Amino acid sequence: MLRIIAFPNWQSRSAREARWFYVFVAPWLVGFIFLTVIPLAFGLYLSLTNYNGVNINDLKFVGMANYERAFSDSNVLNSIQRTLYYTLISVPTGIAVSLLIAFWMTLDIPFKGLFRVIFYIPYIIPLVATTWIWKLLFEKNFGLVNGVVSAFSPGTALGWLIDYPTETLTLLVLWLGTGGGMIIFIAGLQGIPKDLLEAARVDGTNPWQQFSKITLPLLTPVLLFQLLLGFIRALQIMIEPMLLSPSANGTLGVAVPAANRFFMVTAYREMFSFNRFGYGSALIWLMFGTSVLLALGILWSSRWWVFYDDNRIFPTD
Amino acid sequence: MTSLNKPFDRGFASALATPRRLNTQRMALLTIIATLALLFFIPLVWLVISSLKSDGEVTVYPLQILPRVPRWDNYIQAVTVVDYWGAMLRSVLLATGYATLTVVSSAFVGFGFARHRAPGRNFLFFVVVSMLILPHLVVVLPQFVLYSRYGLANSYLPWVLWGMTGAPIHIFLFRQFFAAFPRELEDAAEIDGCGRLRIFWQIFLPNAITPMLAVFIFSFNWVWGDFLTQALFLAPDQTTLAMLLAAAYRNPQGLPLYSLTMAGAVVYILPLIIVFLIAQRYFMEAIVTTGLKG
Repeated sequence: MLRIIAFPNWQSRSAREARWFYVFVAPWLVGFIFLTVIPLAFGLYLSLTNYNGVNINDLKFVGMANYERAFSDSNVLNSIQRTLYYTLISVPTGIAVSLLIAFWMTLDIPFKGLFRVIFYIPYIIPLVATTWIWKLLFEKNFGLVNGVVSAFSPGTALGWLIDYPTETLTLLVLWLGTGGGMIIFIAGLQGIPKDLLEAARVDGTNPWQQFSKITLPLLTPVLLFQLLLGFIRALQIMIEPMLLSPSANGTLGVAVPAANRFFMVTAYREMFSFNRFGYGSALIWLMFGTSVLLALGILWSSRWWVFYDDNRIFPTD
Repeated sequence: MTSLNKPFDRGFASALATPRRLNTQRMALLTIIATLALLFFIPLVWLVISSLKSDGEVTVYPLQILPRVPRWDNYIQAVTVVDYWGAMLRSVLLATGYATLTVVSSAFVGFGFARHRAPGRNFLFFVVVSMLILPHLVVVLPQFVLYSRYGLANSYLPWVLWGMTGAPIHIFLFRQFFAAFPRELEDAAEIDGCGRLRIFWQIFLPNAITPMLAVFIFSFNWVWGDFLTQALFLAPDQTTLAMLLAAAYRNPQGLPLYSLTMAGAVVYILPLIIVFLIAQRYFMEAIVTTGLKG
């Protein structure tokens, strides 16, 4: 009786449906709270303390000191610079190359299936293996790349992994990431109505006009998502440069040379190599905040450059 | 869903097809694509070649392209000088366990989002989609600090927890898949007195074999290839293949033994490539669903 008074529609179909909804999403919701929200909040709390891994029982609250410290720490500032440089070269090249290859894969050329598999396979190869391959290819003295270059200009011994680490890393990410982007762009390209392109052709446009005036605008929702993922991934790059470091082994953080210390590498080292968990947590929260702001910024900018049909990333229902 | 195997026959191709120029243009394009494909393929060829060299041949200067004699023995050594099979067993168990759990839980949650109206549903779905672009590391590192506080590190338990709570990208995939089912299917079952759980378990799940397979392979590959969380959360006596490959093959001076590492790496990635070649179609269609629709 009480139940009926409190919830007049308790027995109604829609109320029943709503209850079942929460039963079904419960596993994710519980996980989201305990495995995402609480760790994030815990990290935020630690970032305001001097936690060093052992002093959990007499933590000192240091306010914003860890955050202030980040902006005067030359290690951090250098790593920000490196990360930005890497992001700005790797994200546009990654998107451009995968879009170009995807475009080719929609053309009428022989062996397309084979090419698609070749471009895609690097995407499924585990990073540990990939970084080993890269070390062998780009090694200064016995690497394949210098060996091939030496055939044209004898004695070439570029220290790719040490002197051009960011560029070598960009090539690695390009190699392993192109396939994933390619598949998504192929599907996007195939979703473009053919009669539209046919009509443009009849009207006497050239292929470039068709691409820039029809294909590209219709592809912008896919581009938006790829851009979001690309930037977030690039900013938080960590494990690739760590594994590429010449003496990477079980104790990851210590051995990373300065040139490979991207922002998250620095945060990792602060936490796990130097036990400055408070400071490291502050760096992670800076990354989190930056990512959220960047994502919002890109989404906000999309109103000017993304052409929406019904392909919204965030459905409004 | 657009089939990826359907040739994109009319649009761009016909636009290029001013008949006389077609052949030279196509040949030029084919050459460019083939060259690029070759560049993409060389690292893998180099991996296999290096796995058949002696370590001296790998590190000799100037570069020696091929081994004098292919040393198949490297493969035997690679799986015997370290506890390769033990690590593989742990990788298989961890990946299978996680993938099985996450298939069921993601389908369960995806079904909830797809087939029920409720206050808060759109907001929660917005959260799921936002999680797709949340930096993974930003959560994993504090998780590790927290888990170690409560004794959850150095165990397989984190994978059980991650598996049971579903992965946003797969929840999203199942939600898209289940949302396309006809309403009548459910109504008929409800009239027959079928509860929601049975509708999910006996009607929707058996009709979702393809996405389940794709999600299983994705998740399996993720755990199989993931180094960081295993290095963080597992104890040294729980070494998986990813951890083993990162550091194990060294000479007494601590320098890497390249040829053995490469042989170990070939054995490590071969299962993934074989499964991918067999399941290619489902695999790519699933990526397309998660990457595009919404």
